[in-house]
Amino acid sequence: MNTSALLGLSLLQIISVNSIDLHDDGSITIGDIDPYLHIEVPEKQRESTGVFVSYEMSNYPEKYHSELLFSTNLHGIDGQYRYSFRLDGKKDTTLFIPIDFYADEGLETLRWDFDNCKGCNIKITQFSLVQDGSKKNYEQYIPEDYKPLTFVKGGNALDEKGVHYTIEKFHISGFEHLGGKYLKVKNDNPFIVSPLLDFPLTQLGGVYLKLGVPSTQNSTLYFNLGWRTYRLGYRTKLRLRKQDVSNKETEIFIPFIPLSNEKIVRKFRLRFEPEIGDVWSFEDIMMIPQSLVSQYDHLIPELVDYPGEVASWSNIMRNGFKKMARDLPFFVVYLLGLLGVLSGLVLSFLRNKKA
Amino acid sequence: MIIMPFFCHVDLFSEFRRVVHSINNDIYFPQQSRLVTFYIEYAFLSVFQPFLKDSHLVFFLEDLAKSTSNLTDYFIFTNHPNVFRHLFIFKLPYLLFDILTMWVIWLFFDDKQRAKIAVMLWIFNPITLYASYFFGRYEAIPLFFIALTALLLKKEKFLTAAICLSLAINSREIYVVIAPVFIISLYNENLTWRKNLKTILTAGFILLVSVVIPPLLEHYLHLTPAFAQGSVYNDSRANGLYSMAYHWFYPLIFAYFLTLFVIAAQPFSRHDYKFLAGSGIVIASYFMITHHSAHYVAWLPLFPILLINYPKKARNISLAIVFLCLSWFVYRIFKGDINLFTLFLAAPFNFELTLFPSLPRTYSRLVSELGPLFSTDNVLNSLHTIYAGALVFLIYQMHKARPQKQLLQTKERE
Repeated sequence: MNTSALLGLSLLQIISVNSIDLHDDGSITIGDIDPYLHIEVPEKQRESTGVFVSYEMSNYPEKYHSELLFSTNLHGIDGQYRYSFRLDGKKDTTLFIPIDFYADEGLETLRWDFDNCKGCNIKITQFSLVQDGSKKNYEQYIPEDYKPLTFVKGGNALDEKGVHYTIEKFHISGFEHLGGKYLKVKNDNPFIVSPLLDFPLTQLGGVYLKLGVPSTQNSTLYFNLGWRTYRLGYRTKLRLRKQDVSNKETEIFIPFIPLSNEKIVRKFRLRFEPEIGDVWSFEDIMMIPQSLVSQYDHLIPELVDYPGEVASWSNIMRNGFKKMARDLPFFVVYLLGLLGVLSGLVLSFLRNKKA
Repeated sequence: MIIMPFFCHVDLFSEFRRVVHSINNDIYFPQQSRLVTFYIEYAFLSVFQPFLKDSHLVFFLEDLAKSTSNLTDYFIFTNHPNVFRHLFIFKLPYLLFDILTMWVIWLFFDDKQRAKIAVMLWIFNPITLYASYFFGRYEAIPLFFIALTALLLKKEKFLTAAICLSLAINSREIYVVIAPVFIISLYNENLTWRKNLKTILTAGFILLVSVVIPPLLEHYLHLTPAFAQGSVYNDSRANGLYSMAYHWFYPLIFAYFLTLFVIAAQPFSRHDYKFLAGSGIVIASYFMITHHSAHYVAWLPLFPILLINYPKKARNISLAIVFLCLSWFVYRIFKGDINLFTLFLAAPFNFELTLFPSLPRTYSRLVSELGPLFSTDNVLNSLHTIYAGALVFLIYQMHKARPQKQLLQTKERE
């Protein structure tokens, strides 16, 4: 990946970007879903004790949420090691994040995540790893309004009775918020994203929803639940479910099925197969702990496979061609190699026949 | 080459995730067993690593003690847009060793017409194709060393042959079961007992050293295996085999020792034949009682393929190999093994893999009303019996493939 365009990161290697556009002038634009920059820490700087960041912004919101996650020799990016902070949107931002507790483990990568900052344009002017000796020079850049920086380890404990949320706390896309608990479907890809949860998957049983769909003409509601952990984006789980809404209201419980190695649920996302113009009311949204799953499991809706992701012959082929198209240099070399071997075989066969 | 980029089993990913991690972290002592395979893969990947994409993410290994991939990590690997390129690169050493084995087979044969049949059976037999290029296991590497061992035995270069077998054992520990066959095959009734003893003791010493080198390295150089796997030396299963610790293994133990006695009692001195027939029969006996994974059978075909060199007519043993391949294929495709790995690769984001119209599933649906006689279990058991029958036929043909008189006389004149 060409990182030289990013001025502040020119000495660091970006491993990957997700939902972020890089521009020729060295700036980046933050996208909608799961945006982050994943940066490798050079060998010589693995014992750094702080990160100094300076950037200029345009097109920023009043407040946005950002996180710096760390992977070390001992721990991968799993959400257990990170700084989480809420920032005020302003033109110039300079901050210093002390990470001295990582010096022993050997810092390997950093992941810088942005939330609620869709469309923000950021020009990073400096992104430096600070060694222990010069740390004091930077401590003045831990601004008071960024405090307290939270160092989260292990996630939040989930209340035994569950945790209620209202729709106002959710990020909404493809809906028009009509006020209170009412949302109107605006386009064909509506979804809601929960606020930051940070619940351990060992404790979280699922999500309970009480929905009203007063205006719909349909008797069936299709939707899927995806959740995001610290290593994976929303691809963690994609299953299409359907629910009878002929009574214009329904109660749903969707279980979280833990995948090994995934520890903390960061957020969840509910996508709906919509009827544009329908008005829905979100009466209750509640995170259910594992201990209460048996009380809700009769509300689990019927599972139907997501049409594009069933393991059928046609989907397997389509998936294969899609991957081929995304790695054209390899396939050109591969096909030329095949052609070369085939021509060689034919020629040697013809030569033998002639002899 | 055609199929290399498109298929794999999760084991291939686990294997190369360990190798990538070792290269990035300067690990040279990954485990006690399969060190030769590891170093060969390490060398290949050191050259080809610049062509891997996002390796810090895709091959990220969180816990060295749990280096066998779970499904989540495997799905990240298969879902990556460059997965086909990665698979092609990982299988390149297997392709190279397969070609080298083909060359050794060609050199091994006295009659080049038979060599052509053997090479065709080697290239196109579905068992090794499946193991190396569909499943993606490293069987091609130890098999090359086994083929070379047979060739060196034929040339009566016993000590080099012992070194080659040592490399095979340190590439894939299962080949320790043919070490006693190798030792017995070294006996030459035309030589004095002193000369025989000298050859056998030296070769035996080489094999013994190769087995104990990894634990000795660990002990004296204070090395710690990064990925925590035992060696042949301290593997309780290998030790249990020779001490008859597993009662369900008794039939194999009996077949094993019977084979050793039969080979020892052969009234002629073709070391290569004794080694190939004895080893082939021992391994085929093993598959009579175990059917754990379809790719394990790749340990077998090389032995009967090389044995085509000996009998008066090549027809029967060649047919036995073809029967084995056919019965293995039908049995395995019905058992569902061959379907499984393909799905995991091609449909990485779907956990509901059971919906795939595999052969057993389709059959089960079609015959659901025909009664228990046609049940999937019945058909599967019958196919297993046919497969076992093909193994018995192959064992018989391997034993019968004794060198024709002409070959023995040529040998004696030499």
